[in-house]
Amino acid sequence: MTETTVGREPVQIVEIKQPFCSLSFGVSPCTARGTGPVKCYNTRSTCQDGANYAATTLSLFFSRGRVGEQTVSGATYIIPSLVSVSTSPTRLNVGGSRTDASGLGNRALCTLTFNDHTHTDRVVDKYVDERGFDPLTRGTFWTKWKARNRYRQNIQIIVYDGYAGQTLAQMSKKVFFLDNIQGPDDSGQVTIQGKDVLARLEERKAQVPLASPGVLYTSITNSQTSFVVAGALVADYTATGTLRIDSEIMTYTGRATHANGVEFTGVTRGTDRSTAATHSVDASVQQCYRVTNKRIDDTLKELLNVYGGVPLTYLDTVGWKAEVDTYLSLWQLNALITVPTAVHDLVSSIQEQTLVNCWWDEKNLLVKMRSIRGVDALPPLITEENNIIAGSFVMREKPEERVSQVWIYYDQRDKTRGKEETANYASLITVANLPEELLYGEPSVRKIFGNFLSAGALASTTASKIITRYIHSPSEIEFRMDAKDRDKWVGDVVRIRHSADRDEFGDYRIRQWLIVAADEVEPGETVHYIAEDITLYGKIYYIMAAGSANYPGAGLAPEKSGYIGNSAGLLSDGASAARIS
Amino acid sequence: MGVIISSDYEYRFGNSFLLQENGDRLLLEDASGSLLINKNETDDQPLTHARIAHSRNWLPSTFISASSTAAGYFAAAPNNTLTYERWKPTSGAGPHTWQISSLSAVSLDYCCLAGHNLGSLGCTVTVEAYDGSAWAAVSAASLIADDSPIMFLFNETTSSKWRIKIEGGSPTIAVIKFGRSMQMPRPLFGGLAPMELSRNTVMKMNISESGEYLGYSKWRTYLETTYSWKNLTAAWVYEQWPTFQRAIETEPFFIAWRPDGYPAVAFGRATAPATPSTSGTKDFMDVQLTMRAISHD
Repeated sequence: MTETTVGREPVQIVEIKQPFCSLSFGVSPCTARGTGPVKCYNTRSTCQDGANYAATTLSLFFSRGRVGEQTVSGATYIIPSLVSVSTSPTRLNVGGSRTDASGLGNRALCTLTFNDHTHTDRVVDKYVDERGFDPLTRGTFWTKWKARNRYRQNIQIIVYDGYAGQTLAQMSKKVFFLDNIQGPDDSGQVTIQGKDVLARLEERKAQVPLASPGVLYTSITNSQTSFVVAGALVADYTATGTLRIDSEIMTYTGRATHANGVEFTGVTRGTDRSTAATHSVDASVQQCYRVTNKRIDDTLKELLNVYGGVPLTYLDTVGWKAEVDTYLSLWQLNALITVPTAVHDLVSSIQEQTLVNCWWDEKNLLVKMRSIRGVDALPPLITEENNIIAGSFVMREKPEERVSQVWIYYDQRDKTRGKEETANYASLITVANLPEELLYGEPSVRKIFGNFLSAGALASTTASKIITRYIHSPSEIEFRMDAKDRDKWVGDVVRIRHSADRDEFGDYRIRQWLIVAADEVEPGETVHYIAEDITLYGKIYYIMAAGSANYPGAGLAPEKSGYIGNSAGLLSDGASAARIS
Repeated sequence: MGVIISSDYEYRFGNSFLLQENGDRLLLEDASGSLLINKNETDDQPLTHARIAHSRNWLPSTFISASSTAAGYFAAAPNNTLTYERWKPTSGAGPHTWQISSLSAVSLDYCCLAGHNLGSLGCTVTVEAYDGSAWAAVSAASLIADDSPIMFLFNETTSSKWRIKIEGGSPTIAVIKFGRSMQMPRPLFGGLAPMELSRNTVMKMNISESGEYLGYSKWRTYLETTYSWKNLTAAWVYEQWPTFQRAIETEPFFIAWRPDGYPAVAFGRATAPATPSTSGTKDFMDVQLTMRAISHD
């Protein structure tokens, strides 16, 4: 049974991958001692030999207990206590155009509701038969689970959506990470909330650079090239790097353990447009984060993985590299971050300044990245006849996102001051479409603070892209499709033909739309989409190999191939030739 | 699959109940005016009367053993009523056995199974009791036709060891109960929606803007019906019903509403208090039992 089977029966299974020790109590290398009720529950918080705790996971499966969910290959023990699964999808913030969201867009969330119940402790307790009491008479499943799993933050939650008869492996899945668990409440229900992996970038969780603990051991002059920092270890600072003391930035070539803390050597004072100055004892010595001529994908990888704690397995680094190689190879980022800043904010800044989108693809379990660009292949056609569910199509304009002028400030002067101080930038580039602005009757300005941009060409490219895209009020649509079309997902581009979208002649206007949010509102049955018009980005043509055949006629030409037209810009069959814009 | 009745199943007081079934209630009373049903409370009712297996008439033993148990399954699981905890013997055609024992001999007349796939696997099941020297079948080997709940009814037999023997596959079974059934003193008459036909299935269709059919979905959930008995003697109700009421407050139960002719068996829980009420006729009471049952297909 699949999504195209007539009479398909959707099933939904939730897996919670609880941390679990692979050892047996008291069996080497576990040195814990005792019998019966004193034994652990193979969880870290009940472990009696933490040094030998052998971390693995125990999968707990839950369902609503519908007939199709009673037996699923791949899950022998499915507790039918699930009441509901509510998901709020990730949503792209294309080019940072939405002012109500950060550059990273909205985080995907899931809310799982369970009925609490007595439980035999089977599966979750390896020693249930040795404890000498009946677990059904002691507590409930979730009250015991919470007590036994104190370290539950970021436990992986997988929501499987499939059809009766499918194995777990055949079902589509979305991955979240446990954020909090509440309950049981007055009605005996427990609610678990999960977030996508990018939630690890939140301000309270990930900062770059980390706050440095060191302070000057003695006061220093404005010319000292070595000094000692107290209250820190060498591990608190990189082997070489950049420091900030008060408003002065300095680089160093070495650091070593000193009787009074850490000694920095090879210090170059007053770098990065700062001024060497004297500093008092106990002045804070802050490590800085520097990006020098770095590719976008490499910078994002470092921020997300090293500083954000997002495992590499969740980063589509291969896809990122291909995207940057093809579309963003000229971009070299430069920045110096002198105060602890949320990784989330830095990633958002990069996205806004380079016009790339990053999002959590919960179906493929990867953080994806795509530049804002045209398409290189004809997107699939979605129609009101064959795809869009009756009554679900809504189109709206977003005049608040229209842009007639883009001002990009770049080349930051004083790196110790706030990012959004216009007077602190050496350069400003403005790109405007004044004729259109005049027709609209009012300007609409977007300011971007390019603290990762050091070259005017890059700033200009960003500004031009924004003007091209947003000179007219962008359109957004919402619609629903049957699960047979569920392969369309966030980041995909589709063409849509609908009666509500016509040109001035009354013909269908088939535009290209980027899916910015997708949510299986009725799992296995109906998917809700939000898409934004990206038609103006046009189409990307590739330079064909020498000796390629002439234009073969409409419908026969490779989608990626552009052909030179006659003096009127037309091809042999009258179709429009490719144009360089 | 439903009810499986032992071929030698007998009514020890069959004649009396045939009269009862003919509707002549006066025959239920003896010369002293006390109700015959009291005197015969341990007697078998005709198979037109419902049999009910519940937590206060099934064997509460915890002495469980099985011939084998596959990884991820539990031999003791069928001894509770959690349908997601199952026993499964290791692979092979068997015979596989699952056994329950009590400290002393007890007299039982049913074995109920639920949450199984015996039918899907085409297994044969035999119910056996230990007679002190060997295992003896109390219900002959039966080829199971589907995965619905099963109630084996057999002549009351006394033993301290009971088991089922499975041949033909390695099934999963969630619930196995041995006990002595509660037998309703009156049959169910008109107006009953048979449980096996009372499917609560949600069906939905997606239609495109232009009216094309895009997809059909269904969710099979549960079975639900209401059993309604009328004119039960108040004495019987006071004697039997309170025990049943307490049993169904916490545990699901099995019911074969009319083993003779309608052999369907349901396993589920009461969804409302089964409170008796006086019927308006002297010393008679009515009772309704609304039940939501596990659906197997």
